[in-house]
Amino acid sequence: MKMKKVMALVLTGVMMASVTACGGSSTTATTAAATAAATEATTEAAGSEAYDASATVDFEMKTSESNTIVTVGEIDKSLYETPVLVTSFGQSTDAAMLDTVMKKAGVEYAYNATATADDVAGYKTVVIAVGASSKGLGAAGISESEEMARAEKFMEAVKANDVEVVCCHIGGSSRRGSLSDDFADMVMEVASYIVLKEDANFDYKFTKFAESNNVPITLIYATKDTVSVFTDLFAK
Amino acid sequence: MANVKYLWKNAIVLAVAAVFAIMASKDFLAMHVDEPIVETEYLTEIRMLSEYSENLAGSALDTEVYVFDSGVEGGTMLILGGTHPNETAGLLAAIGMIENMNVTQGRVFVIPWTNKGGFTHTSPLDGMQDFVSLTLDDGSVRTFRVGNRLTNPIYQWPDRIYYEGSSGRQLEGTETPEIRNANRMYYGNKDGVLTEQLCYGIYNLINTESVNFCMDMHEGSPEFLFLDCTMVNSRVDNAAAMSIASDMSLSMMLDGLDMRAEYSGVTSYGLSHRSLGDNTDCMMYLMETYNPSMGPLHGKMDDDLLINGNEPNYYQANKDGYIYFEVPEDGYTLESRTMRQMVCLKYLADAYSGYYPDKAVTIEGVYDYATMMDIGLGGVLKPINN
Repeated sequence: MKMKKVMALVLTGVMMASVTACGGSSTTATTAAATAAATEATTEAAGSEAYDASATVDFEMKTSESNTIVTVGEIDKSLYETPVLVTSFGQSTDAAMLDTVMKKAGVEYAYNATATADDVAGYKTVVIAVGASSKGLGAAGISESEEMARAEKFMEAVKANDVEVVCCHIGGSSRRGSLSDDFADMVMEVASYIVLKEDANFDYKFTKFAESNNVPITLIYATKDTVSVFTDLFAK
Repeated sequence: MANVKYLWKNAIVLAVAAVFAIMASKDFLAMHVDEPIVETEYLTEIRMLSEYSENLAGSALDTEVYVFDSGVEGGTMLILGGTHPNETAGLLAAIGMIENMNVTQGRVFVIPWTNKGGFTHTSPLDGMQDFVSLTLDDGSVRTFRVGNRLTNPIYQWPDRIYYEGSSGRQLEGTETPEIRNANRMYYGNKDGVLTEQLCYGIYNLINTESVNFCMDMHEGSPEFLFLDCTMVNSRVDNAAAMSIASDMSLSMMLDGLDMRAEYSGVTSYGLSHRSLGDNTDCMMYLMETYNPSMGPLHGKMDDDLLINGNEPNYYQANKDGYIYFEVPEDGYTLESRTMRQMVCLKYLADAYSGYYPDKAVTIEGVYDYATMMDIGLGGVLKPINN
């Protein structure tokens, strides 16, 4: 009987100590909250492009933290005159970044992420951010097929108006995917210059194209390096 | 006589239990005391959120709104810290802004304890510390609560088995506790559950004060895909929001910080950036920094984890390719995360002002990242009673 009381006392102490340690609420809440957070992450990630990480196994970068910009080929800067039109093929966030880059680079430019063929006339250079985003297309209220149709007509107008084209892929490896690649292929075909965040080149797609078509390509290590590239390109 | 003997024994058991209960009560009650915030000469006034959601008055979720009005015509910015109290950098950044910021054009509203009901408890079975204490440059110590991402159930209970918020978000199954998550219940309901009344207060503040842009500051577990990232509500008629976020991101990159901007998830109903952005004229942003104490791989909850941000398990997980976020080997300190958030707020205001000079919000007293790290948390947080 005495032992029972001692045990009860000890157990009471243990119980109170454990209550002090855990600080309220319920186990269910923790588990459910964690699950909900994970669900949210998954849901929000669904719109982003994925790529096969295993494809990067043999990939060697030319750029590095200490060598952030590498150009392969000769750039004829005299080709790139202002005013410049910046637009997007795929409605990723990269076009908005180029909007900021041009501003910081002090370039005379206009930004219209959904510019049409009718907007091309009057510009001497167009810089196109290639990269598809399902969230971006949704935010712009555009379907993939509508965006592709706009891009095709835009490129026809570019050719008809003899405008210089810079293909800009600055979203990195996460901006690779079939639709993004379709837009990149469409623009590279006409571009006289390519700017690429190099980790997107994990399968050497862009450098292979540039080499075989004799198009200069500038590889950048980080998105911020784009500012130097365009400051230099349009410096007269 | 035998009864008296048993009475004494029972009384002793009860007395011992009472000692533990008193110790536990002190622990619990300490969480209900707001940490002091130093008011500067630049602070215009402190309001209560219940001015914008009257049913909140007298409740545990009514919270202070710090107002900085320059008196110079311009735009209006809203800063939300402590939406999820366990995301400590968000609280400290909001307090850091209040104690250092001088607004010289436009107005800035700061809510440091957005979900005050989440600061009064911690996450059960996580062994979470109740507080973190930081030593200031003058040697004094300031202590801050480490709360929970959800409203304390003593204020809002029970969790419904099914609930549809104003945004259309349907809470059911394992998500039902999220009815106490302020960042799932926007744009709120003045007659809804308490957390919804809180959300309605913020929604109504935005509309009443014509807030132009708002940043909701968060942290995420290392597994989360949107760390060092700002979520942007970008409606078709509000496309400049992404350019402004990109401007802010680029400024941070030029400071040597990783930051990117992403569109709000289409189905992120109830989250601030989605539902306040969709239902008000305010440009809504939400930023996240890495917090290793929030993920399931974390080790012991101690100062090394909470303040130094040091979690070898996550460093290894990244090295082994299990998580995307590049975890620094020497930790990701609370100081660097707080400074990152303060710099983000400063650059967001700068970017917005660049796009809309007639609605500019100019913040002085917050600098680039390198300068802020030189000042450090010990300098940003001001001594109490000075």
